Amino acid sequence: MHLTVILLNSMWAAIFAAGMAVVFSAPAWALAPSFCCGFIARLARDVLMGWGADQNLATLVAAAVVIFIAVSIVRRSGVSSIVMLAGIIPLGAAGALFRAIVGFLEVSSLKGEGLSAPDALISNLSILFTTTTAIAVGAWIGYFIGQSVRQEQHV
Amino acid sequence: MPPEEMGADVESSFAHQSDAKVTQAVTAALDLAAVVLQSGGSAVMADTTLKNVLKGYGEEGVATVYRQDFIVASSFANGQAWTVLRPLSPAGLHLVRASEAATLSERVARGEVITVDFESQLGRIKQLASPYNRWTTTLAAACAAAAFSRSTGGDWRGMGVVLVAAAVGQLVRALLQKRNFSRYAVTFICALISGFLAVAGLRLGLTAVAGATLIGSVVYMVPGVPLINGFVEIASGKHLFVGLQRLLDATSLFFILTVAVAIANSALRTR
Repeated sequence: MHLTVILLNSMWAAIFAAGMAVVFSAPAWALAPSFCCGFIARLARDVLMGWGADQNLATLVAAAVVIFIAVSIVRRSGVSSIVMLAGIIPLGAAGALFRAIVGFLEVSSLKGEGLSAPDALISNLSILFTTTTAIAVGAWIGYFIGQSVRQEQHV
Repeated sequence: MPPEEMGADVESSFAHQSDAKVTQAVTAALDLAAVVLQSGGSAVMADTTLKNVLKGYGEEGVATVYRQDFIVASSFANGQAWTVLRPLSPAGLHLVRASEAATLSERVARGEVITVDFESQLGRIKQLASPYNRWTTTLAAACAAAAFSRSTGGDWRGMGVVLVAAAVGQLVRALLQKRNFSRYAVTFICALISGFLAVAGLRLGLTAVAGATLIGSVVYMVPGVPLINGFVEIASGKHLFVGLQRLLDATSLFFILTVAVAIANSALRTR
């Protein structure tokens, strides 16, 4: 994928993250950081995938980076890092879950033809599971690194 | 807090002779943890909040159980075992409130907030309104949906369709939430409206990118946060059940979204 396309998609992901931050009632000062986190999340994932990394590994690293940045930013303001939650939303597998449920609805009406539909359903469910697990584990890693750095600085 | 003030919120089995200080500490901790859970925080964050408050009150060694609809705290004091149950209303998303609750708990743990202050601070947090009015939230949801459709392969005209579909859906969503409709009903009705508008755009030939347009039109309601919270809770190893509850809840909402969009798609196809 070209760098221009990656940057453009990252920009849309950033707008998505900032918009969702408003929907989630994040404080106004957290909108710009959420925008940046959304941009970095998608950029990191796409760049890593461009270098040949597996999608789940790329998502895990991107989530860890974003949460680490979020924890570092809010450390200065003294509030909880939850206000930056919207930053990792662009990494989610909403599309895969949506397709999985559509596939689930279609599977019930199959009559011998279209045997690839169950495969697609399992594939989409698998993408959803692995992607969300990658986000959760990445978020944990980023959070613990951020907290460790914080504690070292306090010591 | 006097027992009569706890009202229906708390089903308690306190013995009259149990230490009022313990009661006060646990009630305060449960109140703040409930705010975190009801505002979009995970059980991991709620548990940290609860333990911070207990630490501030000098009461540790309280066992807790988290579920999506209640929290239970249990301990052994003055020779008696007691349990407090705090029912929870359905969770929403209010990150300012969750953040303020977590920050207050840290201040309590450091001893910066005294008991009297805690009550007023808790009341203030519970009364916090969203920093954005209905129109700002509608515009933000519409822009977020449009940006999502574009980032997942949608075209410019599809982006316009999604913008309108999400804006109308979010506006109706805010109105229904204000009238205390159930979450599932709100999700279904709004997904149906957004889905109809998106499918209409596709049928009128405004765009040909069906996937990005249909998913984008309802993405502002996608329960991504409960899904991530559920996985975080399961990954923590301590909150398996509440994590599974959240995953089931998120899947139910996804299912409702999909069914609503499928109905919109079928209804317009038959015309």
